[in-house]
Amino acid sequence: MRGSQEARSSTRVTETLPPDVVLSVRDLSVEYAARRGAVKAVRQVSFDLRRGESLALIGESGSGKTTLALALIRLLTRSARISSGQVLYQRNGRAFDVLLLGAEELRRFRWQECAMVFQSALNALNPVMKVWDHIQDTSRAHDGAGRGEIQRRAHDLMRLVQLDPGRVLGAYPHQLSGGMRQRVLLALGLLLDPQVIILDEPTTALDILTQRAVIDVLRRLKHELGFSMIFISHDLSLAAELADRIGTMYAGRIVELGDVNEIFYRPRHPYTLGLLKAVPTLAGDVAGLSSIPGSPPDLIHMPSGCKFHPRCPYMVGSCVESEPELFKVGERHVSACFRWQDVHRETETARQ
Amino acid sequence: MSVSASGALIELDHISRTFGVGKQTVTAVDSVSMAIGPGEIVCLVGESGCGKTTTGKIVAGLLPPTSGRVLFEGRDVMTLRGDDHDRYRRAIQIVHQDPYASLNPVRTVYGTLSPPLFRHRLARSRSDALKRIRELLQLVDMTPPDEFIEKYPHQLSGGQRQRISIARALTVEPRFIVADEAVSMVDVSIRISLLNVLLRLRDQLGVGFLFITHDLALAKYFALHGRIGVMYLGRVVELAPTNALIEEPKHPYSAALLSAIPEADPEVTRNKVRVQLRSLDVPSLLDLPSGCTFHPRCPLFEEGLCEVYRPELVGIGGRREVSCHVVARQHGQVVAGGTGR
Repeated sequence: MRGSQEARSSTRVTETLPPDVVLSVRDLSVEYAARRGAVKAVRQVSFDLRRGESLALIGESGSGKTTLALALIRLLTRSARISSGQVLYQRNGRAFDVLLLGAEELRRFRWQECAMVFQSALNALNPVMKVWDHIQDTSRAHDGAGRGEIQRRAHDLMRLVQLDPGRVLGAYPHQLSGGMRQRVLLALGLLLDPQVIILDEPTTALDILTQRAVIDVLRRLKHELGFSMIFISHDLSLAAELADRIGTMYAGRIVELGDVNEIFYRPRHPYTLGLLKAVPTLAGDVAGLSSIPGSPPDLIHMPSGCKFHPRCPYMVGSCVESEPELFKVGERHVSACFRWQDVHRETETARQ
Repeated sequence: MSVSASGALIELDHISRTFGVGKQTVTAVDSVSMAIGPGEIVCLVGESGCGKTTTGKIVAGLLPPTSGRVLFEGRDVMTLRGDDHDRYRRAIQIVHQDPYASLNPVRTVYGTLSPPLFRHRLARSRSDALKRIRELLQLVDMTPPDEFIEKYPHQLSGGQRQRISIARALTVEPRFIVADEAVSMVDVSIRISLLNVLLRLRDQLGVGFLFITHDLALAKYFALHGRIGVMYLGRVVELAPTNALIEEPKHPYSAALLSAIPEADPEVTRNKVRVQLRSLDVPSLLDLPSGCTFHPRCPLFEEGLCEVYRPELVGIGGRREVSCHVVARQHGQVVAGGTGR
């Protein structure tokens, strides 16, 4: 491990995190400056990520999931501003706030501690560099291991993601298929043995059989290497495959957070329930499928109260007046809905 | 609905389409045949590059086949002239994938929907056109219509734009619509409502569909009482009634696809039995495998048969057709020998 090289001193926080928590996001808000006003892309998001856990953030486009992920490793564009919150990261019993890191410490934090795998594998790789050059480049920029060691690690990683090192390391990105590129990116992300890996729509542009290969590789790697994973997807089925926990995002907030089976079989927020009803499955019945009426809110001029109320079948007067906090609705399960008990009742009836 | 050759609205008779890539030739669609009856829904599914979009374009008349014939009401569309040709072009419309690209950004909804009405003399005055446009907007659930008539595309959401694309296809009162990934660009939460709009057109107006998608679960929803065709490297490898195909796929490629699809249900998806392929690599269209193009990956591969002879799409009963030597033999069909290429 590279604990000795981790960020130092000034940014350490006195607060201790539970030992199995690697990342603790608290009250995080991000705004973008736009001509019409501030776009409130992420609003008061809090969650803990535990060691070896995989958390899926699901939601429609514009729900703030990508902004949230970028904020965690401070890769936001200049027009964005983190207006509140903390991103506490813990390794070897010591915690610090990522948002307070200086430039050099931040550079070390990225990739060594927390790596991100981007959505478009073709755009994320340099077209004039061979895969091997990408690996060497990354390695040199971050820890400067010897050529022999890098080579060994590169071969191991390629095999881990089920690619033939002999064929892939010497190839340019355009010589690889989409699924192979995605796995190369994954291997690159893992190169420096990070504790946390963030994946933005890891399988979205891939064909079914390729997607299956990537999913299987991800599941096996997580099991073998024990890293924690945050992945962003609009695809509920990917979350059903890979997630231990799921956070549903709407209008910049996590509106429901719980274990995967809780979210799929006992949803307590009308938006999560609506999403589940909107997605047909091969095995399931087509009856009972329906879309959520309306469209996501304007993030500059948001509705009052609960941001979902204009589309919500459970809407009552109080939903217009104030925004519900996250209520504890079950074991390790929270939902931001005043009427979660009614949602509860409906899903219980439907299950019988 | 009858799908016999005589009763078919559209029939593809061994259509192929090749494209030149440098000095080489790529066969995007390779001898595809199928008959689609009036008001019937057929979904074409398959991975990228399998030729489903090219097939759709040929059906919509946007691309001529390199060989083979497209029959409209039993007549070769290449021979249609004058009014007959007009009638064919009006009868078949297409809805494209990307509602951000397929609408002209400087035209209002009225500006998009009125020209075809005037062109085909379905409206003679502005008030005529407005009346018809209101009806069309109601049909695609854009109510109240007057709120949308003067809007530009940028003032509409993705889902609303796609509804306008559908309304535009409807202006000329088509009998058949080719919908190419028509809902894949809109958010998951509103896909079903768009599909329901299309299904209502079938129920109320008898419009048939060729629905092209990579999402088999969507295909199941949309073509519940229709058929699904699975394409692989330019060929239709299986064509069957939707439920039969989903419940019991016959072609090993269909079976592999269905088993690989992740499902939005943790218990189901984590316990699914997967079909293992012999290879993950998709062959290049520039260098297709001999015989059955699926043979290098196929779990049912039989040496001396599959890499030698090209399988034809043959009926195996129950309106099912499959293009596989091994499966055909299991169903008592005489296997290859003379049909190889």
